[in-house]
Amino acid sequence: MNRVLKYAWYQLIVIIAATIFAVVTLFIAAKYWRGKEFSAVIPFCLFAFVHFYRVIFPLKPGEIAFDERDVDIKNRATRISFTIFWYVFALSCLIPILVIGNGSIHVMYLGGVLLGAAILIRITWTIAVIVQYGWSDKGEK
Amino acid sequence: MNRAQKIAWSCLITVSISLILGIIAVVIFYLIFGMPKALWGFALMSIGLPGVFGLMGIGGLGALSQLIFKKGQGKVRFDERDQLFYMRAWFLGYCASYLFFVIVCMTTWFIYGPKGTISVNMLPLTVIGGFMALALVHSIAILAQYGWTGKGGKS
Repeated sequence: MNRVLKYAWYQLIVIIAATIFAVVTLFIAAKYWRGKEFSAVIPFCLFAFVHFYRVIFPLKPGEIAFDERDVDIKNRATRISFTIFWYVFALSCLIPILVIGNGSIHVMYLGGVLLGAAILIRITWTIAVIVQYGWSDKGEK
Repeated sequence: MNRAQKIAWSCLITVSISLILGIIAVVIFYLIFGMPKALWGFALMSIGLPGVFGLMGIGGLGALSQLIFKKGQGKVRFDERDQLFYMRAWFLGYCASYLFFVIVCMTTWFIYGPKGTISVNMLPLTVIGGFMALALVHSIAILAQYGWTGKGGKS
C-alpha cells in the first residue's frame, strides 16, 4: 500500500477513535463529574496522535515517501477539504440567524464550530485521498 | 502584465478599499453609538465581497474583472505553471481564512469569557471577514508569484 494512502487510513482511524473518545469523555464529565475539577484537554488528547504517524511508521531505507502523482492527489484533497470546510462554516454561522432570529448565542458555539470544522477538514482530506487512490492498494507499493 | 495579475490587482484594490471603509465606519460608529453597534461598521466590508464572488454592489467591479480582462486568443491560456501558482495561492488563502477564524473565535472567547453570550448577528461578520482574508491573501500570493508588475508575461 502506498505510504500516502497508509497515512490517510491511519489518520481516518485515529480521528474517528478520538472523536468517539472525546464524545464519551465529555458525556461522562458532564453527567458524573459536574462541579469537579476536569481538564478540558483530556477529551481531545487523542487527536494529537494524528501527528505521530512518522514516529510510529518511520520511513524505511529505500522507501519513497511520495511522488508527483501523490502530491497532486494530496493537493486536490486539500482543496476539496477546505472547500467543504468553508461551506460548513458559513452555514453554521448563517443558520443560527434563521433559527434564533435577533437573539444571542453562547460564546462556546464559535469554538465548537471551529473544532468541528477542523475535524471535518481532516476527515474530508482522508476520504478524498482514499477515494482518489481507490480504497485499496491496487498493487502499488 | 497577464490576466491573472490584472484580476489579482482588481480584487486586491476592491477588498482593500472595503476594508479601509469598514475600519473607518467602525471608528465613526464607535464615537457615535458605542461599542456593540460600532461593529456593524464592518458590514461595510461586505461591499468588497462581490469583488470575489461576482454578486453585486460597489465591489462588483472586482467581479467584473473576469469579464473586463478577457481571456487571450493564444493557444495556451493556462499551463502547469499557472495551475501551480493558483494552487499555492488558494492554499495560502484558505490557511489565512482558517487562521482568521481561529483568532476571531479565541478572541471572542477571551473577551466574553466561557459563560458569555454574543449577538447572533456577529456570526455573518465572521464569515465576511474570512472571505476577505481569503481574497486578500489569494490576490497577494498570485501577485507575489507572478511578480507585481508586467515582466513581459502576457496572456
